[in-house]
Amino acid sequence: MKLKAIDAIRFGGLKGACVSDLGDGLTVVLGPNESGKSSLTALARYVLYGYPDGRSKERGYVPATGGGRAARLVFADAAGEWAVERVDGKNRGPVSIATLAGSARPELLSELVSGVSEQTYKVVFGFGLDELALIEHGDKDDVLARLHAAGAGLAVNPMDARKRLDDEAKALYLKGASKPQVNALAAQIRDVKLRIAELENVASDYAADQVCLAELAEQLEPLREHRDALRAQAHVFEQDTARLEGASEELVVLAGDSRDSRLAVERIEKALAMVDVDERVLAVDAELSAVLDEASGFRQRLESLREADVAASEVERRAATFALPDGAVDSIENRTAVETWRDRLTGLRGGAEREEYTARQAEARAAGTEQIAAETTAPASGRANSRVLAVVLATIIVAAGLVFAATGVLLRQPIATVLGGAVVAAGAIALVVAITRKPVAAEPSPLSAAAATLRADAVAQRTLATHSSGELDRAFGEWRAWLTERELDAHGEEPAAVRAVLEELAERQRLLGEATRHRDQAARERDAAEAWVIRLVDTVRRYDETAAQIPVLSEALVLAARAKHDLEAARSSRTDRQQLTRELETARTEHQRLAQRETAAKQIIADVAGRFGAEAASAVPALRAAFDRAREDLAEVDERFESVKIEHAELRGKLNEEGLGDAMARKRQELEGLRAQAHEAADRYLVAALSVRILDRARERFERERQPEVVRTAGRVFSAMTNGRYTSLSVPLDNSGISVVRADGEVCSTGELSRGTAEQLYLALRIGLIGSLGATGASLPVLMDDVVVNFDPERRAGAVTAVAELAAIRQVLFFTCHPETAEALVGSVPGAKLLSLGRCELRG
Amino acid sequence: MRDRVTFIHTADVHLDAPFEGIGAASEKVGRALAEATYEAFSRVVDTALARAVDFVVIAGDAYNARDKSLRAQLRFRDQMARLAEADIEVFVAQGNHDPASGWSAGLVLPSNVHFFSAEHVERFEVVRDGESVAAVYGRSFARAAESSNLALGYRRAPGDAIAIGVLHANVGGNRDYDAYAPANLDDLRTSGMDYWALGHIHKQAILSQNPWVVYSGSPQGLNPKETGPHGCFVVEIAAGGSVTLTHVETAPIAWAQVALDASSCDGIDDLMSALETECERLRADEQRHVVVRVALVGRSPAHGDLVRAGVIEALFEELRSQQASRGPWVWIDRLSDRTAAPLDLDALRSGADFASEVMRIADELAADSAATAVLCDEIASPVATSLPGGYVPGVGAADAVERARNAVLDELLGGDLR
Repeated sequence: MKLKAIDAIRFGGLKGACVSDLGDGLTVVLGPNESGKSSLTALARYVLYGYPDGRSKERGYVPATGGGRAARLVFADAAGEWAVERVDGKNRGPVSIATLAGSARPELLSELVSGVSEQTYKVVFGFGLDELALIEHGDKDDVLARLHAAGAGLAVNPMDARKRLDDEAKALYLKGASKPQVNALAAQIRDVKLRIAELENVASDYAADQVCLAELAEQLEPLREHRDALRAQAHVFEQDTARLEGASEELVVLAGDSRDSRLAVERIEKALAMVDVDERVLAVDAELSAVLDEASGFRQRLESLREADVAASEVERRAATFALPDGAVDSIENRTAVETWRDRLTGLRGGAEREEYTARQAEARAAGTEQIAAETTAPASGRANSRVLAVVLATIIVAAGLVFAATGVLLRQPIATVLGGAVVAAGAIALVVAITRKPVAAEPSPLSAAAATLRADAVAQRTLATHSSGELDRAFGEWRAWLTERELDAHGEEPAAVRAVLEELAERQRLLGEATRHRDQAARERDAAEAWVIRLVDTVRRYDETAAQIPVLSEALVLAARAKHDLEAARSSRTDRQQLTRELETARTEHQRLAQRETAAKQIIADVAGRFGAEAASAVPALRAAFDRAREDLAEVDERFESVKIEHAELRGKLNEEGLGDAMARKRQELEGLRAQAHEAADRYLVAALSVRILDRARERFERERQPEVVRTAGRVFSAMTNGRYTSLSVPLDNSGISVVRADGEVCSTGELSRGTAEQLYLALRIGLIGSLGATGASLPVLMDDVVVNFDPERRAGAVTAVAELAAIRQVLFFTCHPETAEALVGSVPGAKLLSLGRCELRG
Repeated sequence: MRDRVTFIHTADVHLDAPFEGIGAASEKVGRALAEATYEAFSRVVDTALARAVDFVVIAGDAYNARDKSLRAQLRFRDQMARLAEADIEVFVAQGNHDPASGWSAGLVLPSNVHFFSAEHVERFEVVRDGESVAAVYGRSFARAAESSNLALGYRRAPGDAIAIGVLHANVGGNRDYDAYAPANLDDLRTSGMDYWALGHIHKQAILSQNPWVVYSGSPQGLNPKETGPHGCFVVEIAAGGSVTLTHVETAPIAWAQVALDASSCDGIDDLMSALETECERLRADEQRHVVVRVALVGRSPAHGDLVRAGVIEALFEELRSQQASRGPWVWIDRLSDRTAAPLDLDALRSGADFASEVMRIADELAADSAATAVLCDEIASPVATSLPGGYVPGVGAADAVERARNAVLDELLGGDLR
């Protein structure tokens, strides 16, 4: 990549001025003063790095004609051509990359300046006389550092490395500083130690506090005892005062009460003397009470007596209403017999009626059969049917026999049963014969035989019916005899009627019995009433001789009422006397009790007053004053006790809190942590500082024994440029100043050199440096602005030779206003171009 | 005569002592750490109660008197009260951390607790059923820095059925511990004790079996270096003098240090996976909480990722958060990157460029340890004056040079490595 053109669109005094068609090696731009050579040199740097901002002291090349600055550089290589253009604006002016040929390369500017700072560019790549000395006295760290790094075969300049290590060491520790890590940790350690010292003071106080705690505990016990004693004394005072006051007040009250009680005793004694009690009546109190208690029973008994008489009369009247024979009586046997007779007669009557009915039925069947047989006997044409008829008849006979036999069984008539069985057997035989017999001519009719059989059956039934009727008649005869024997025959012979008569007999008998019971009851009540009256009279007579006659029953109650009144009057008098006696006793007891209390109260007053050595009359105020004093003493001791107790508790709590807290342990651990951090940081400081020392020693030896190639190259260039007057130069790694060695071996600093020689030295250093940069800034051209103007012809020739060497490896633009310089340069470099300012042939 | 005597031997409980060298950013872990010494001691007492031992001996450093921890002394009293309820006597020798002259909260301890005199060797008899079954000898430190050989004052009294010596001392000159009450095994052997219950060394150790000279170790490891088992010994001494020791693990928190070889890890994902696997292994092995320091070592392709700003910190935070949330938790105390770029160092040494010069300078420093120590001291001394409590580098001079060399090479060749 090479620079092809510089175009000042608007830049300082230039407008539309450009140099183009720049060569790949050396291009000499010849122009008179004020033709814009310095402007173009600055322009190239501004396009690459930006226009100077307001803080810069540089000349800004603002167009005098107004409008913002605008300039561009055109670069090209085999792949294309690009214009880097920068215009005025924020952030030192925006830049754009225009593709003039080939593909777009938006990162072109970064590629161009990679590894070359603006200052380095200004000192090394684009410089005039003003910048020549900057390589030594300008921003040395940057330029010479690179010079050394390049010469020492390192990616990093040793001074950069040293600076970083030194910075690291200083970040860790710096004597007298506060921010470095070790210094800061030292401050923290001091703080923590102060805090620990405070806690240690607390701990030191702890033992003293423990003593104080023990002293307080010792004070507490006697104070507690004193307080308790005072409290007990005050309590005694309080009680005595209360007793004294109570006794005094009680004495006043007791005086009145005692007088009242004495009057009450006298009043009751008088009332008691006036009570008269009939002791004779009270002597029979128990007996009389018992008799009188039975008065209501006597009254009931009189009523019962009357009621029994009335009831007996009524029942007797009702019994007399029954018109029944006197001989007839009702009894269980009679009733049972009547029931038996009723069942027997009913059974016989039913059997006779059924036998009669059966006989009549049999006779009707026999008559019917006989009639049919008569009608059907011997007709020739009817033989065939006669057999069938015979079978039918035989079957009917069997059925009739079965019915008869069954009836006999049901009625428990063995004869009927046997006869029924015989009929069944006969029918069965007839049926067998009718079925098995072969029909013969002129054989008797089977119906006739059946008719005969039925007739025989009818006769048998009739016989049975007659027999049953006879049975019934005999039973009735016996029944009537039974009634007559018991005089019950006058009320019909039906058992139901007889039963009704028996029930009436029973009712009459019951009524007569009831009347007898009423009469007996009346007799008993009378006897008892009379006995009670006798007891009453006997009892009353014991205190009242006037009650000698026994009254009739109806008047006995009057006597009883009088006796009751006597008894109640006697009792009432006795009760009054008893009540008054009790009241008298109570009044006397109360009177006595009041006297005792009076004595006790007087004793209390005497005791308490005596205990305090006071007169009884003045005991109360004296005692109260003593009590008040005791209370004051107690309050004072109480307050002192509570104060000591609180102080003791607070101190104990404080000691527990202090003793059990882990603040000190945590602080000590924190201190250990800080110390550990500090020591670790200090170790790292030691290593970092040692690193700096090692690097310094290496640098010193390297400077002494192994000058970088770049310095040797610069020395050679400088020697050639000065035509051997100076043989070599030395550039220390710490940039402490460049030394040159004269041909006679004398070493001198740049300050001792003439301006021209110094400028030759600086040019030689640049040439040496640029020659060793390798790929760094490989596409950047070197722009020199009349830097040999102060050289004498001999040294200018040497400089031309050096520039020519540089142009062999780098693109060089040499601006000069001296035609001879231009000619010398062009003449010394094959292919060199010579341009004059003012010609502008930009493409695109 | 009883056929055996059983007692608990413990020491270096260091109640409420902070864990050295670690900080607990997690509230949960911080609380567990603050409780760990108490929990461990409580388990010692649990063991004494469960086994119904005849007595308990504490061979110094029950707590750190210098820390003035009230809680430690209160909780110590509470545990003593538990033993008192079971009628178990406790014989306490005071050590360099809880000397007789040390700070006391002024608490009254139960009557079953007996502190040995700091003036002379004191003898207590253990009486059971009216019979003297053992004599316990001991002496406390009068002050923290006890430099005399206290063991020389122990002499068994005639007629002792069993004699037990309790002492807080550095026996045998263990260089990892302060040389307090220095003594050697011969000093102990001549005393006639059957069993020496020692304290001061936090790692359990049996120095001799004739007589028995035993360090019980601390019930809880107190710093990341105190890995391995921590607990107390249940000691049974039979009438014939035979001794049976049973170690009971009591530490609720285990410590671990892991150097994880990252040479086969190609990137951060690989590293994270390897770290997770390692944590799971720790969790499975310990079956309790673990505090672990992990160092990534080896020449690893992942080195380039690890040296990027914030990468190791992010990996650390993610792993810590992940492992702290599981149960039992594994607390990643530190995750250090000790990996190096996979460079051919020999090739570098033979080169002629600047990096080769760095290699040679580093090699020269490594070869001259005195000069390197001076250089390191020169760097560290301002830090030591700035840091309260001073600063002694936790990294050796040779290691520091190697790490510094790697850092320089990382910077110089970073572009090639990444």
